[in-house]
Amino acid sequence: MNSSTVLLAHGVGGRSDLPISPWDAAWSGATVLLLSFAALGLLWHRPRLAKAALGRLAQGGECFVSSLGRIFRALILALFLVVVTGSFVGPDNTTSNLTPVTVYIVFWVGGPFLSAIFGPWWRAVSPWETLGSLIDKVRPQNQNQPPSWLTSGWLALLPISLFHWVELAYHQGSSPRVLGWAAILYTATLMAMAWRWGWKNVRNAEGFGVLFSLMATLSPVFKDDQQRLRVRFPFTGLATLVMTPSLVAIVLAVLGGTTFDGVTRTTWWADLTVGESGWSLTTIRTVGLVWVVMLVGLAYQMASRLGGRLTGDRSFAERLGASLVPILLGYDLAHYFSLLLLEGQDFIRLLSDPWGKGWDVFSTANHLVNWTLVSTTVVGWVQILSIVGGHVVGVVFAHDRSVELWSSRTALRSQYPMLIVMVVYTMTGLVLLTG
Amino acid sequence: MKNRLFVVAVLSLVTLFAAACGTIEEKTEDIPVVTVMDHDEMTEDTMTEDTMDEDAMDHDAMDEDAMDHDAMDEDAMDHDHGELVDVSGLDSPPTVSVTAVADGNGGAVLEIEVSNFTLVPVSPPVAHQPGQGHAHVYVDGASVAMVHETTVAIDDLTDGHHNIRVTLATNDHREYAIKEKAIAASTSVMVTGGQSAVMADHEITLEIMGGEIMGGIQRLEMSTGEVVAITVTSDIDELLHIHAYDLTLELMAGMPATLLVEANIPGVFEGELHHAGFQVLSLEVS
Repeated sequence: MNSSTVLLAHGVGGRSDLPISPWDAAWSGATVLLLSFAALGLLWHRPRLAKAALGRLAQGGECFVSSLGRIFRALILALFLVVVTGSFVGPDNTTSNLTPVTVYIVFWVGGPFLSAIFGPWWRAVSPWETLGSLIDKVRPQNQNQPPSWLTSGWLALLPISLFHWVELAYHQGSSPRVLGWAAILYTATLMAMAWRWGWKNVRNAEGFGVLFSLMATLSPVFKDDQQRLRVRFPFTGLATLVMTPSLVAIVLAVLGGTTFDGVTRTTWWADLTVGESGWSLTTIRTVGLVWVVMLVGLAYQMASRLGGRLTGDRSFAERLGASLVPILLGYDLAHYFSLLLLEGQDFIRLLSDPWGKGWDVFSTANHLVNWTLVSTTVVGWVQILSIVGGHVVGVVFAHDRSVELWSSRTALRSQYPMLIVMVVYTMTGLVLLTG
Repeated sequence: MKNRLFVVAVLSLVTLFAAACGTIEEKTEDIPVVTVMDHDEMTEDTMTEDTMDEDAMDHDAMDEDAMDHDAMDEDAMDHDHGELVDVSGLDSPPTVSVTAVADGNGGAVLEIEVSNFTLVPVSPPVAHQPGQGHAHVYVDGASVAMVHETTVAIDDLTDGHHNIRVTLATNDHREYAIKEKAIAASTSVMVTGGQSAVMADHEITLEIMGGEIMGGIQRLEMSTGEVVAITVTSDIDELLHIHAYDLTLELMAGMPATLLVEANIPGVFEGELHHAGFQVLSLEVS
């Protein structure tokens, strides 16, 4: 019996979303265009976001948040240890082991959403942060100069890319054992590097932390330079985000991965891979994943080059790169909102018996997934609104930054290549949702 | 002071959460769940029976046993993993074969042939004797009869294909097995003239040969409340699984089997072959 190799689309899955109607999609595509143009030319002549991003002080919030942080830091570390051990001790089966649902839904889908709502929470509770700062305390205090490949930030792309490959391409990607080994390997590598160069430098290589921090800039909650808790209008934090080429690459990689996940759910893809399993399936999916990520990245880079030529600014791609972050959140919501609410319910059941020993710690071991928790209509609307909304926020941000950087005529011209990319992304995103 | 306030807040949150969990649990209590626990219970029963074998069979114990069979058959995939008596060591182990002919009147007549085996009546109960026992008859995975006759008539079947499976059982209702696989014979029969099957609004017919789906992935758009009859023929033993509905259909090599699915959850659902691990159909329920 090879029950561990039960093939489940995108790591884990049960109910897929109904395709949205092409009419809705076209309608929303048009809305994006109109809203973008309106925001571009008519109303917005001077930068506003940077000022709004300052927010105001949340009085007395620190105490609450830091105590909460301490509790959750311990809880998350405990959960991390339980899940990693459970991936080896528990049943070697996707649906009866806690690991796949925790990794692919609670962590990978829930993490970015929570970051967009609550800000830099992951930085406060991440098990790697916890372990890394422990290492910092015990390691010999030598001053090893960190190598440039570590400080450049490009290393963070590696765990993100490998994660995507395991999730979306590798045929054994939903096996608890595979995920367990991956977690151990990742943790060990990070800690070994932290021992040598200190966690402060290695933090750059913790891809998930880097990604979640990017998402956290969308949140209305943030901490200022003096570590004081402040609140601001959602999304305005983008104005303070300084993108580097590696950060742009990470966002594009995740955007490409999510797009590829959408591609694999089309009937076209299902017909292409019909009857394939094992390594031949892995090969096809790897090629597909690389292709889609390349296309998504290439579209952005070409538009940036064009924009750079129009404005004479060589770092155009980084200056406007932050506009990709809300788009990524929109894509994530569109693709994984129902996954989190439906398949994610399995976490409740499995948490009561994390090691498959017949326990019922929280008396939830018999929890059945309520497949009708969200109606298909709600899911459809969330999908359309999040894709369109993500792009609108992206366009507004890009415009704001343009009028800040360049004269209004250049600013407007610089927008055209970006606008084209956004429209292409929106249309692709919506077309993929029409099945 | 602030810290203390905070602790109170957290405690009340935890209490709220616990209360919420309580209500969730209450809601799900009514829904029967087939869990792995069944297996454990079964193994226990087998163990107690083994000790009981020395004594004459006790009637109550047998009834319990019969009930267990019912429970077991609900989970059709498990009927090979029940209580088995291994006879792999015998030079000439028992064999069984079966043929079925439709009677054109909503029934079928089975001819069962055995060798190296003595069929004895089920009632009155007698203790286990090697090489002796009766036959268990299953229709579409469900136990329908325990017989010692070689000609058996089965009535009240619905129109369409039915799988017939016959196993050899000991006097105490365990099944004879070779290398952990029950000694069994299977056939299928096309029944006519009976009650028409549950009214299906849609039909899907799938044929799987050499690891390929003839005609590609079958897709169906249907509305909630409708019923689809999925008939699958596979050239190897397989298991069809419908995601989220969590329905399975056991497929025996070369024999068509039918699964009725009532569409009560909207969404898109994949049906996949469990062992081969690929998608064969999709139901789009809206």
